[in-house]
Amino acid sequence: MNVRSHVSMVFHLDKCIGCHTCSVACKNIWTDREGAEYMWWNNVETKPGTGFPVQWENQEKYKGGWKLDGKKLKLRSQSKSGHWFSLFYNPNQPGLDEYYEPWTYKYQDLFDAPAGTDQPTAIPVSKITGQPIDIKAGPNWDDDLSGSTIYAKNDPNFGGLTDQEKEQLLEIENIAMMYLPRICNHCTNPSCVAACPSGAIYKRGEDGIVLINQDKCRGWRACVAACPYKKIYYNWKTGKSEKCILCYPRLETGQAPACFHSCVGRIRYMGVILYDADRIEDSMKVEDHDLVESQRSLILNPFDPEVIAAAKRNGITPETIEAAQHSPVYKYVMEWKLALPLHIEYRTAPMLFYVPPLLPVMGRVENGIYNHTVDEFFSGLGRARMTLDYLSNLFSAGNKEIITYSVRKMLAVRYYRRFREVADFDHDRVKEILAAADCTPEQADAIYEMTSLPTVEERFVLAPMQREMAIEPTMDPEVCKSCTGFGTVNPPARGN
Amino acid sequence: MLDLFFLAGLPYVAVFTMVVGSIYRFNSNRFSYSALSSQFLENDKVFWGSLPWHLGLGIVFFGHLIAFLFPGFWQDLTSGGTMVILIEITGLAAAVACFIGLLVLFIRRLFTSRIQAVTSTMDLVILLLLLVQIVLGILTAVLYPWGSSWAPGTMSPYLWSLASFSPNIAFVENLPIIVKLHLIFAWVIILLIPFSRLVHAFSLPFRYFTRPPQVVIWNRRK
Repeated sequence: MNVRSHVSMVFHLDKCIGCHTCSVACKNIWTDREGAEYMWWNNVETKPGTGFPVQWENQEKYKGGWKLDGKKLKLRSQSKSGHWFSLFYNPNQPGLDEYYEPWTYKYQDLFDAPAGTDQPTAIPVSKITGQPIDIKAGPNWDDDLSGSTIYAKNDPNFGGLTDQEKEQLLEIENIAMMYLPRICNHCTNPSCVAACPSGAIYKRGEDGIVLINQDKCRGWRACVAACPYKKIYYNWKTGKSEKCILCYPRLETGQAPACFHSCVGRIRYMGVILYDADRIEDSMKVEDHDLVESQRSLILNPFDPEVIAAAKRNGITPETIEAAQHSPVYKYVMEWKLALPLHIEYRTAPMLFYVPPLLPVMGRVENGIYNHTVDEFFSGLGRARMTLDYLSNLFSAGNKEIITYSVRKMLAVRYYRRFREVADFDHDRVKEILAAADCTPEQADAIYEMTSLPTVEERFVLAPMQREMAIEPTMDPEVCKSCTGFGTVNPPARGN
Repeated sequence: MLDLFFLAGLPYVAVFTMVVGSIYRFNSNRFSYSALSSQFLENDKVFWGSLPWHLGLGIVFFGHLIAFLFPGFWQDLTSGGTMVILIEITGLAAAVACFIGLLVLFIRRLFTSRIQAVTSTMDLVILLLLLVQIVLGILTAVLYPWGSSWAPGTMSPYLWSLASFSPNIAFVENLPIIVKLHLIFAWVIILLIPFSRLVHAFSLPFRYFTRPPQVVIWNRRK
């Protein structure tokens, strides 16, 4: 057992209102500069929809992630020898038009326009060429457009859905949608790291954050193609690739990441999980159907004395182990089994988890009267507006049992709370519902409290990262009192 | 005198500047080492530009290198008639691929507005120099054929005389002006490497073939 710790996140999608505050907070801190205008290290997508970049989940097109080839995991985007040709032209790299051309407006025209009979206008101009452009797309162009034949209909997750289910999702009077905030998944089996010709991308041992060494990156773009989530972006100005850094300079100074900190719905939970680094690759070599369970088997119980001993042997601090024991992520992923990885079928073992949204058909109109009965618990799931097939394509590699387990438990907690608050059905019925959802009243209370009433201390549980110790070998911590992060001090201008 | 400067002085200045300049730049501004790909901004023409240019260059460069390093072996290889023709045709085809590629890249850089946004003067200078150099090379191959068999007796000893710090330009000073220009342009291009994007040639990722797929870096231990 080779125990490592990982800073991990849970997104509670049932609470996400799709306001993009996380995206804007991230943009303001990290990507508001030349070359990075089009990058959204954090973005929020409407599902069903095509996402950003367009149809990023379509790996037939983008060739991201790993594929299981017999007993080996192979990169879909390149082979060891074939990568040589990709240096000169990478056939799997998305171009700017698959994202969008960033633009601004000529605001000065509003002041400089000569007097006339029309109102002056500020025309849009490209942030790359400076020329007027016809805006065709933006990073969230399909926002709230579920039901659209341009966007929602081209969602790559419709594979395996019946025509009736597709229709149900697209019917304009009846549309259902959910929001999917996405950042880099800080995978434990990252395909970007494996694809980097320069060896510039690495995973930090202590916290699992995946970073690109900007001084080592040579702009070969193999990572952009290899990342199945398309969360590595090529900076066209500096000729280097960039990605979400999980706000490590903030984490190192005890602050929550910008996206987490600004989240209006408080949907994000952050905590430590311990995992077994010896079995990472093997765990991703099982059939699609078993991938979620296989990844769970990597995650270790922080209360197990054997795990604690092995963690201490690996230099994991007692504070980190304690944080792992109070980790909301561990609760959601392992204890309650509510949170699931996004697209585990790419086999990168993503370390961010999502609690699926709950959009059940709770009631229906019969004879002109709206009916809402507790019987729906057992029959309603199959008719959920966000169909389970669709959710399973997103969160459990098509395994419907796993997604059903998660959604059923969340629903059971709602019934349980309704019983506690309103009590319009009897106790036996609640017991039956909880048992069917593999839940106890204690667990239902805990889920309810962590979902609805958590304080920031309960949502953000990390041990101090001891940056002063980390930098000690290279410089005096006294000199570098509040500095964090970037090793390069050169202004990011384009080289010659 | 002019010959002495361009064929004996310039090479030393060029190689010295290239080595010292590239190392200095690597140590002082490693961030600037990048292939500076613009495929992201323009995804179509770059295929017809970058790929033929780099692949053709690989072949041409390899041919020049072998002839320089192992003139004896190269001479033996090119003494047979068919082998000379085969090598000349391969080399010429590669050079033409280079030329087409460069031409596409040049046009793309001049006329695509998105590429103009990332074009420096040095980019254009380098492209132009390379273009002229390829034309000179092709002209040499066409006007003075079987270079693969006469070069080991002229170019190689000249380069070796430079490498052994006893420059002897007698080997090349009587060659046609086009061949001499080909040499001079080569030295100029080498000279400009550390001041241009050409440094990315030193970044070819050979280590990728042997490194383990996953990279984990620890702050504190190991």
